[in-house]
Amino acid sequence: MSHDEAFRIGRKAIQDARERVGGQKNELLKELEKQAEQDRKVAEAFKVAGILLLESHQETKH
Amino acid sequence: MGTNPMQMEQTPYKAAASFTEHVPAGYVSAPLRFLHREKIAACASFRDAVCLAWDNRAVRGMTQRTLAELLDVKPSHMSNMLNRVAVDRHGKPRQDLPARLVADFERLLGNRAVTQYLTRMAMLTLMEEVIHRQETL
Repeated sequence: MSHDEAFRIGRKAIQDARERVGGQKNELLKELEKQAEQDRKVAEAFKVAGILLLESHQETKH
Repeated sequence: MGTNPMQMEQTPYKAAASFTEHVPAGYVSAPLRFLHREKIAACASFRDAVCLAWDNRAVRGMTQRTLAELLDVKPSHMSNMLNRVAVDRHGKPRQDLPARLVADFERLLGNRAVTQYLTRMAMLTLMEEVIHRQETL
């Protein structure tokens, strides 16, 4: 999965979850976790995004 | 988030693929274990997640020195990465586990605590971004 694709899928999953459960953050997070358990692509997208965000954070520290 | 994370030459996943060919038998347990969601949610930092992964290592007898050797990092650096306190006694920030070592680190410890934490952080970060963007439209 490319980095662009990971962020695109991740953002889309959030928008979809928001339409289902609204904007309350805890509910949204639960819904996203549920979605990730059911859809490997969504799980992979957030996993890739997580590593990239960490890399980006660590690069800016050096 | 200031730099572009798209400019990587080698992903951690590719690096891990070559690494595991050289890992001694007994240290790679598959599949990697997922830890309870509550434990991940209780991590306040990346360092907490790294320490949680270490505390839940599959091979209980593994020492920090062994892990350092397998990851090819200096034992003193490994010790800093696994220290729960983010700064030393002089107030200097301790080194964090580099992102490029996460996949190997998890394979050696036999659990996915760090990935679980990073996944959760990605969800929260992108959530904030999406919500903020829609609120400012």
